[in-house]
Parts: sequence; C-alpha cells; structure tokens
Amino acid sequence: MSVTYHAVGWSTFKKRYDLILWLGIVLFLVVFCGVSLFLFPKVTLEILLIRAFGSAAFLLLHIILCIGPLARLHRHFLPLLYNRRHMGVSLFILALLHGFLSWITYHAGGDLNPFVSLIVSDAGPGISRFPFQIFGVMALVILFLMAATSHDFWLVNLTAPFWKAMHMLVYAAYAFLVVHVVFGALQAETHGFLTGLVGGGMVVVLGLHLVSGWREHKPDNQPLDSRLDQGFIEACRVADIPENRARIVSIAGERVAIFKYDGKVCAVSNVCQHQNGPLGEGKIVHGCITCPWHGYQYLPETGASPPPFVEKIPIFKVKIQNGIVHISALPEIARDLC
Amino acid sequence: MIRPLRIRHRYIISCLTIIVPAVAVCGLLMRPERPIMQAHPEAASHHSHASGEKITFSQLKNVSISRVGHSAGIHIVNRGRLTYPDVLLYWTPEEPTDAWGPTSSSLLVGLLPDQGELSYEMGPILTSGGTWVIYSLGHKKLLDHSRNTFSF
Ligand code: HEM
Ligand code: FES
Repeated sequence: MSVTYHAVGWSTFKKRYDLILWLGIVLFLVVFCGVSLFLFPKVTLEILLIRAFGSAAFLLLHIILCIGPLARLHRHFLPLLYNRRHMGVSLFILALLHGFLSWITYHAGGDLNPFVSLIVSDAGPGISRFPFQIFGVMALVILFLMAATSHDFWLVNLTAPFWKAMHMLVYAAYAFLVVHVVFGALQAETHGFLTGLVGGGMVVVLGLHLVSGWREHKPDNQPLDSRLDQGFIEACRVADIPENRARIVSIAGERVAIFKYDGKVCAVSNVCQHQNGPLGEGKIVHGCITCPWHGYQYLPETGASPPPFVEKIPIFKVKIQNGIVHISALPEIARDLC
Repeated sequence: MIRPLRIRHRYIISCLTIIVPAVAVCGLLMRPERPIMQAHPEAASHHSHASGEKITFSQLKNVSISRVGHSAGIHIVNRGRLTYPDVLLYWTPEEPTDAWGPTSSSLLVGLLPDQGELSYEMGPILTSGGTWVIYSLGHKKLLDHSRNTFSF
C-alpha cells in the first residue's frame, strides 16, 4: 500500500470531485423539477420528487457504467475512475429516496400491508400488468450491497475475488432497472421522448463496453510468442517507453508493465494487488510504481510495497539487446526488500 | 483487471447486449392500447346540426344529450354545476334501480362536463335502446337516468 494512501480518501482532490458531483446532482434535480412544473403544472410534490430522484439515479448509473470503458479508451477519464465509489454511494442515496418515496406514496395508504402491496400490486389489471416495482427493489438491494461494501475494509475481508464478483452485479442492477423503467414509466408514455432517452442510454453503455472489450480482446488472445528465445521474449524498444512511465505488453494473455526510470528498465505484472488496477497506466512517483487507481505503490526492482506495507506483485527479468527490451516469459515472485 | 476477470466481463457484456435490448423491445411492444378521450370530430363545429333528438333527465334538469347530425356521436350539455364528485355517464342495457352500480354489461361513456359540453363517439350501441345513467363514482350513487330513445 502507498504511504500517502488512506482507505477513505478525503483528499483535496476527492473533496473537489465530491463537490462537483453533488453540485451536478442538485443542478439536475432543480432543472428536472423546473421543467416538469412548467410542462405539468398540476403534478403533486411527491410524484415530482419520485420522478426527479428516480431519473437522477438512473442517469448517474449510466455515467458510472460508462467511466470504466471510457478510462480504458482514453486516460483523460482516469481521474473519474477514482471517484467512482463516491458516485456509487450517491447513486444509492438517490435510488433509496426514490424507492422509499414510491413505497410510502403508492403502498402505505391502503388496506394491504405495504410490503405485501409492493409485491402484489402490479399483478392486477391496473396501469402496469407487469411487476416492474419488484425489479426496482432487486436493483436497490444490489446497489445497497455495493454501497455498503464499497469501503476497503470489505475488499480485504470479503477477499478480492468475491468482492469483484459482487460488484459485477451492477450489470444485473442495470438490466433490472431497464425492465423497471420500460415496463413501468414507459408503458404509459405516448410521445417517445423518454423511450428515446432510455434507448440512447442503452446504446451508449453497451456500445462503449463492446468497443473497449473488443480492443482488449486482441492482445488477450495472442499465443505465447513463437520468437521465445531461452525463456525470454522480445517486448518493445527502450525508446518507445516514456520516462517514468510504462509500456504495456501482453504475454499469453497476461499483461506486463515495462517501466523506464533513472536510466533503468523493469518489468512487473500490470495488475495491482489492491483492486487489480492497471499499474502500467500509472507512473513512477518518489521512486515507486504508483497505481493510477488509488495510489498503491511498489518498488520497481522488487515488486514489493515499501515498508511497512506488505503487498507484492510478480516481476519479470529484463535483458536489453540493441535497444530492444526482452523479458522473461515467466514471472518471479516478488522479493522482499529486507 | 486480470485476464479471467476481463473474460468474465466480456461474457457478461455480450449477454447483456442481447438480453437488455430484447427485453426492452418486448416491453415496448407489449404496451397496452389505451383509449384516449377525444373530442368528437364533428361535434364542435356541427352541433348546431344536431338531429333534433334530445334526451333530458328528471333530476338533473340542466343536463341534456343530443345526437351529432346523423352520426353515432352524442353531444352532452350541462348548464349547471356538479355537486357530486367523479360524475360519469354510462350506457346500460338494463333498467337501473337506485342501488345500481357499473356492471360488466354497462358501458362507461365518459365524464359528465361541469358547466360545459362534451362529445363522444358511441358506435352502433347508440341506437340499441338501453338507458343513460349519470353516476357519481366518488359516492357510488346513481344520480339520474333516462331511457335511450335515439333511433335511425
Ligand atoms: C424500492 C424500489 C423501487 C420502487 C418501489 C420503485 C417504484 C417506482 C414507481 C412506482 C415508478 C413510477 C413513478 C411514476 O411514473 O410516477 C418508478 C419509476 C422510475 N423508477 Fe423506480 N422504484 C424503485 C427503485 C428504483 C431504482 C433503484 C431506480 C434507479 C436507480 C429507479 C428508477 C426509476 C426511474 C428512472 C423511473 C421513471 C421516472 C419517471 O417517470 O420520470 N427505481 N419507480
Ligand atoms: S490502488 Fe487500487 S487498484 Fe491499484
């Protein structure tokens, strides 16, 4: 782990991102309510708020889902990646407000128990003949699990593979919410504006994922190079590596980050021990390879985090011949510094 | 991301790309046809051409129903104020009692206007006898009724 990294990163940067995030959310809510009141002056306060919070949450989910592929496609989007967790928690707060208001508005005033009403009310011959609200509840449960475990404490205690798998449920939440909106609000829509927005959002989210996934597919499927020579493989030219930064190469599908610093070259696994961030997109800060996602640090020669931290990443032997970097096809386990 | 995670990610996205748009299209195709209350096309300009046939009510003296030309449209005029909530006009084949409520054979025509006029398209039912019922949905109360005497 890095010396400067704190699990809850209330750095000036994060505070600024959070401020911009919440200013954006408040601006959206104000504009949404203003336009709604102009178009539908008779709308009641609770319906207005239900729609405003629901729409804000759905929009924020789209933004969050786009950040991953955008950061893969262009490094300018990387800073957004650092603030994604706080966006996720904000999304949950908005979704909770929407769900809770919908629940008390539509289900708390009748003879039925409000919980039972939530489950059975869409089954009849009413406005929606499909249980769209159950899908909203399922999505809300996923968003809650993700927000509640977003802290690094849970990443460590639940173990990274379980945590990652759980956070991939965000895609299920997205699918549930498309069902929630299409079988709910869009059933009564006649003019096509909202339908267009939901369809456009789907094209952007899925399109960006497909494009970035396709870009990564090619290097993943390259076989172990046939030019393998005495356990070493030709990787890149020294001149192609920017100073204090890395070039990422792929060996049999796994990525290796080759850094150049202080006239030296080293090769390490591209995968950060924290949350599998792409180390090769980070840079050398104070003599350490620094992960671009949350700032975990590793010494380039050994692959170990500087004491007192204990994380280690695999490193690869490096040979330079005629300005060409050759790296060992198999990694070494990181060596302890002391 | 490590390679197995990237592969799992690609797999999930491929499935989503097929399932989500397909479900969304199904949802849009399943949208129910909702009847929308519209002004009768002939009514506004032609109600002066009303056929002369007119139905009145014994209690609600301000309300009258006339036929729009020789079409299957009706024109309702209410010169008074409504004093009951959710007042609706029904057509029903049976003779209603005081305890009448909408049945499966009765037909909801639409709102009874409050100090105003409204027109509705009725179809063949217009000349098939039965009774016009004015009913307060809010109070579940029959307010008035009158036989349908429109004929060809
Ligand atoms: C307990 C869970 C939930 C319940 C009971 C619920 C209920 C509802 C209801 C009744 C509507 C229709 C409102 C109307 O048209 O007036 C609605 C619409 C909507 N919901 Fe939910 N919902 C839940 C969760 C969610 C979540 C988690 C999200 C997004 C993150 C969401 C996003 C939306 C959106 C975008 C709309 C359409 C808003 C509009 O009409 O402009 N819902 N929801
Ligand atoms: S520091 Fe979090 S993934 Fe590297």
